[in-house]
Amino acid sequence: MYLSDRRRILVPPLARPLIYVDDKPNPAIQASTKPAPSSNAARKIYLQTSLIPDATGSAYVEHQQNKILALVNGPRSQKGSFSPTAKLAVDVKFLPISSDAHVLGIQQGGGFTTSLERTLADFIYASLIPSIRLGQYPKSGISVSVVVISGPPSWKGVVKQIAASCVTAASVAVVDAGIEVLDIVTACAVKFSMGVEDDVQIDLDEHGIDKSSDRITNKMDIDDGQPAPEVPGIGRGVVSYMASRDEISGFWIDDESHQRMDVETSHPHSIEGAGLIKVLKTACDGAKDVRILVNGVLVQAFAEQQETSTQAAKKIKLGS
Amino acid sequence: MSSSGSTPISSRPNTPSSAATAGRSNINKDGGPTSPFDHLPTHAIPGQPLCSAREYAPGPGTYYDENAVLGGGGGIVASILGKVVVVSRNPTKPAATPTPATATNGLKRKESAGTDINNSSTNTSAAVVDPRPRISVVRPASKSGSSSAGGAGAVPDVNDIVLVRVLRINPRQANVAILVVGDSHSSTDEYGGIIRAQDVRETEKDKVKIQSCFKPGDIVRARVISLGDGTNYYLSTAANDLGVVFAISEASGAPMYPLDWKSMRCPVSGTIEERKCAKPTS
Repeated sequence: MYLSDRRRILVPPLARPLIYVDDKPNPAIQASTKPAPSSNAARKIYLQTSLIPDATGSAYVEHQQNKILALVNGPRSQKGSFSPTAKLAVDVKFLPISSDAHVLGIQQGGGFTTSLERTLADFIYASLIPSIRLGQYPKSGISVSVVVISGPPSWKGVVKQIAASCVTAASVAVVDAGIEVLDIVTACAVKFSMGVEDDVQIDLDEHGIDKSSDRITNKMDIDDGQPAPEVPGIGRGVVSYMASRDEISGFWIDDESHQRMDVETSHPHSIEGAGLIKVLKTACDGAKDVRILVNGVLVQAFAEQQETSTQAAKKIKLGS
Repeated sequence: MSSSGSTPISSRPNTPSSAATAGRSNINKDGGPTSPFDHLPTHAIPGQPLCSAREYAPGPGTYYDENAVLGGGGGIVASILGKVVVVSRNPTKPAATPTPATATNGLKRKESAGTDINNSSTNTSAAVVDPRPRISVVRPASKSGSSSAGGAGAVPDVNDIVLVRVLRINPRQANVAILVVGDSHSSTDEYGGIIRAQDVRETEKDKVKIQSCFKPGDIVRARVISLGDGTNYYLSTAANDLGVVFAISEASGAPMYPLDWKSMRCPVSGTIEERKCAKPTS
């Protein structure tokens, strides 16, 4: 089944990352990643643009353990039938070293592109499509490739977070490529309690390490996978948001409570109405925070570019 | 997908970080004060509203957004990261000052627009009579070697002047590869083009012999006349300043210089070869 892909050096299908004895959770490290004072304050994100000179545009996002690189190539000419607009192609790859998810995907779905990668690519595509001015680039193709260099050690419930970082990285890379966009898309992941009528608890999703004790309905540690039975469902979602236009370009919400199968089906967990709006609003606020960072980084990158261009102009002057 | 209408989020964020945008966020909060555009931002981030569409016309790197309310009536929003440049439509006026449209101005612009139509190498958008100065966002020159307004776009568009290399010829057309689009210095060897025999020159179109106009390897300046089909753009050299700009002699391999509009001479061997030459510019 791998014979079609001869360009890459593939890992054996059952490969697992090496685990050293020293890799046991280090209390010192855990202490350093203690939650922020407010559970709704976004964690620090590292963002850099233009790091791959060969690509038209690139961006690197580091958010907790998630390290994501997005590359944009294009607009390039596209063979085939005439198309008045550019075609966007998104693909997502997990590096084999990134986490256990890659192995997981291979075991589940088989093939090189795992179902998780495809799902993420589809979400990024859906989030970016409303933002890019595709009509400006007829007969062209724009390809976005997102590489997940490393993820958290455990992948329980972090897919939305990865998706959020991927969307932000991809959109910034598109801007870095100089492709015309309506607005930059930033995304934010949230987690919330489901099946509660009046009191929905929402947090910006931070890999489940928020353990704010003041919450009533949502007390458990998500990472141990053993929630207390009286707790309603946990939902996780990611919202892609164009802050300047005040438009949501994509959202993806799942019920990720582990005990869902055990609960009788007459009371499925759901979130709707005011609760859903609250979730969206919280996520959009988080995305706005990310946008502030993105704007700052872009302004800085622009200043540096301008400086190098003036320096180059000076050099030409001196040389001539 | 939900648009702003159905979401509860109402306020635009005060994110962009320049002096002018601080003014903009005040606008959004106050709900529409009068004349905040005595100065424009020096640079822009995609999605950043720049000015009211009443005062400026959107140029490359910007777009018109009717929902970006800046003093009413829609706004112009940046679509790429770069420097904000304002080009006044009236060349005698200083570029940075927006001028109100008066009758005399309109008349002058009509004249200039008329010359634009006659001047074959001008962009189509310049031919539209629009009293507003045009605002555009330009990328810094160092980025990917392209200084063209409008970002990465080395994508040929109708009426763009392109430099192409002739790949092969047949009696009906010359197949070319588009190397350079407009003023951008970024080269793309990927876009294909076709110069049909009837598009080589304006007169005696039926007597054109492609073989006596181009040879494979020539560098030709041409204009895009159509986006063409899936694979090729359609190009034309039917103008004085369009045609072969660089050709190698078959006899000696030396670059030739043009004698007149239809012949070039090799400086080494002295042989004269037939080409449809471009009128040398500058």
